Amino acid sequence: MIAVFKREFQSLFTGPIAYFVWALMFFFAGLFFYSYNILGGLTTLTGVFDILYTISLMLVVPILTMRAFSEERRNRTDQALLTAPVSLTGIVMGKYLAMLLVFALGMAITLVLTVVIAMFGATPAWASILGNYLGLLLLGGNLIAAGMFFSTLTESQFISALLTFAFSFILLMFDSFASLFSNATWLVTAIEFLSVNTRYQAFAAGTISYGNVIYFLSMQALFLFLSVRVLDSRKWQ
Amino acid sequence: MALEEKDLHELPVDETAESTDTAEPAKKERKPLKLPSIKFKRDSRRLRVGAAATVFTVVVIAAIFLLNVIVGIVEDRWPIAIDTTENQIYTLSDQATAYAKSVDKDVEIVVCADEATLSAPNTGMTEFNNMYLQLHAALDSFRSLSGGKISVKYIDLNEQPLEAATYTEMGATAGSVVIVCGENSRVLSLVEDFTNYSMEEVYMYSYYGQAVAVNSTVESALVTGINAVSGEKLAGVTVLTGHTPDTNAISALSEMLTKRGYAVEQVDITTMKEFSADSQLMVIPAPSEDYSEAEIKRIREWVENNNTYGHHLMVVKNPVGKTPNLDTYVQDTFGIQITGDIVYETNYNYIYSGNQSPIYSYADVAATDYAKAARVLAPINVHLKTVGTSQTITPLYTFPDTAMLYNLAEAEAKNEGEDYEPVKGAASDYPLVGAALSSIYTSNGNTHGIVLGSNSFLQAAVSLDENEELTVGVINAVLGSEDVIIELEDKVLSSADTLAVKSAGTALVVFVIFVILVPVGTLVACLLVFLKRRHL
Repeated sequence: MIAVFKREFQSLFTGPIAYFVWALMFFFAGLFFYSYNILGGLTTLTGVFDILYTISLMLVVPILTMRAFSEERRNRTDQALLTAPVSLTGIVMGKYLAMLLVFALGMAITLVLTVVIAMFGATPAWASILGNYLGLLLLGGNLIAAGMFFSTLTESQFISALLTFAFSFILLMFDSFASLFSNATWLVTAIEFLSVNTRYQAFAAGTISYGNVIYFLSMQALFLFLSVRVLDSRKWQ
Repeated sequence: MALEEKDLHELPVDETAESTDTAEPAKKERKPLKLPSIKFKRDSRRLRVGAAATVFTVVVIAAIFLLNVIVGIVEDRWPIAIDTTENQIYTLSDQATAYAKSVDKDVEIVVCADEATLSAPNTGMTEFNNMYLQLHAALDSFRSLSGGKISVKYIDLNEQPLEAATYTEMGATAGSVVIVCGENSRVLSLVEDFTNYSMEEVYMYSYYGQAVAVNSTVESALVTGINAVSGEKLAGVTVLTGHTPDTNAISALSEMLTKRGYAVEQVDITTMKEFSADSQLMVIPAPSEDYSEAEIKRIREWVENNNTYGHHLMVVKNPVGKTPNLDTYVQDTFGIQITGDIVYETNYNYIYSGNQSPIYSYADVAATDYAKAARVLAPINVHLKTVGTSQTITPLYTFPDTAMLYNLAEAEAKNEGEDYEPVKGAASDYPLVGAALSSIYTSNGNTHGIVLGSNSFLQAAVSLDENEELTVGVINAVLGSEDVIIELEDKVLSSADTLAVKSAGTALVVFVIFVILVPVGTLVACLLVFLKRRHL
């Protein structure tokens, strides 16, 4: 798994993907920091985390995960990978952790911005910022695992990105569906239970509950498991 | 998959092959062609493995779903979370925790909204979203800490009209929080009673570019509300309307007292309505016109209470009001003379910076049992003299030696004050008294008189904690409510602190670094790596 992790991490930086993803995150974080904090005078990074939440869902993760397995299939290098002396779980986890690390490092810009706030004489609320960071990291992990799963389903990077984008869009709009089915209480309850937005907002608001952490980790485990299953089924074809 | 010999059936016979046998070949028998069953065996195994994988997948999905359902149920029962906020807004304070555990009557808290309004708020403003989340967490905590004495339910008034009928009769509307204990009930408003500023006020301030500190009063509102319906009943307060009182002062005072559990009634003295039997404090809120002799007599009788006393009076002076009858009554009964002079401050440090007028000044509060040492804002304050000898008179706040006196009547007489200069008071007048508490002790009972020389003092209490603390502290002491009322500290949801960016140049540097250089630098790094790989 470590070998796969190192290889994948390296390949993300020998290609344009990691740089492009980071440039996106840095640009939007910087822009909103300038707008909300420098011009607006806010001492919290609420605006920055809000935009990172949105662009993570819509842009960053689809781009990051689109070539996870799609490219391997297209280039026919997946056979070598699948027959390597590494378990399928190890392969999936190695790739997943590499992408998660790239995502986490991209988000580290928020920690730099917090230091800038401190340099201007304000006292940053570190605990709250770290709570936001953790929430966004868990959410990102969710989406990366889902993106990887979609990547295993197709050899087209474009379709993989599109599927991930669609999934993220549905997640973003999920809470709105509850208002459409207000008469069906059970459905509303189910939607609220599954809502990623609600659970992430709890982190953003300042609470870290074990229920939300377990939810995110279990969803990551689910998509990683499904990815392994898809790869395993390909072995039998 | 290797072919096993036993799996092979007879292969088709090749009739064109030459026989190598030298003996006379036997006649070859044609046997029917049979296809190998490898594919069938392979398909069968694949089917088994595929089915097992599918079942396994479904089981794992179900297990993950079940795990989350169980965790959700456990979390409802034990809502443990790490509070990462600076002011621990989601963690119940020790006082509130102790109070919740001490509740010994059945109290029902009904939120007239669906639970998602509080658990997944979307007000559009971070502070109010956090307040709703805090309220949701506080209600859960109160429920679990009270050992079942406090129950919480959520009712959507539109979706559940039958169930909501009981509460709408109590005065609840959408967004109300109703606290019920037996026959007693109290209705709070989500939009007004749980923060020091409403959403509209915060929006208005931000529209004008002014940052305000939004504080949450969730704990104190809940504790006060539960206490009001289940605890010892507080004294009633009667506010006399009529004679053109200061409605802003009435509104400010009513809000201060109501949120602490007092029942405040308004009675028009001119229509001679009855006062509530529970009332122990009467407030005369800065009338512009004088009271009649009959009305003064009625007030006197109420205060004396058939010589048993126990009724108290609070008089708030309107600096431009002409109330000789009322002023005489206050002086005769409570020994406090209401002069015609306004306090005029000459010390810049005591003048309110928001107005820069010498008659908008601060006064000092000395530490007492009911108030801590503080500085309060007392704009346009009438000078009071303590002249009584049979009463115990305590100044509530005073002005320093730098303050002078400005007589309004004399100023009006001299061409609207243009040629009138303030004068120094007599040495015995200093420090100048702006408000005082007069206590009359008799063998039959005690009575207290609070005289405030400034109606604007109460209006300032809306935004100044010190003004509010002094007002409420004195009233609690007069009514003997200090041990009954539980005061909890507000929690800051958003501070008024702003990031001090010293200059436009600094802002530009930040913009260039974080919006241009860092992202572009990242892309340049990508290009460099690409070029380097091309040359390898």
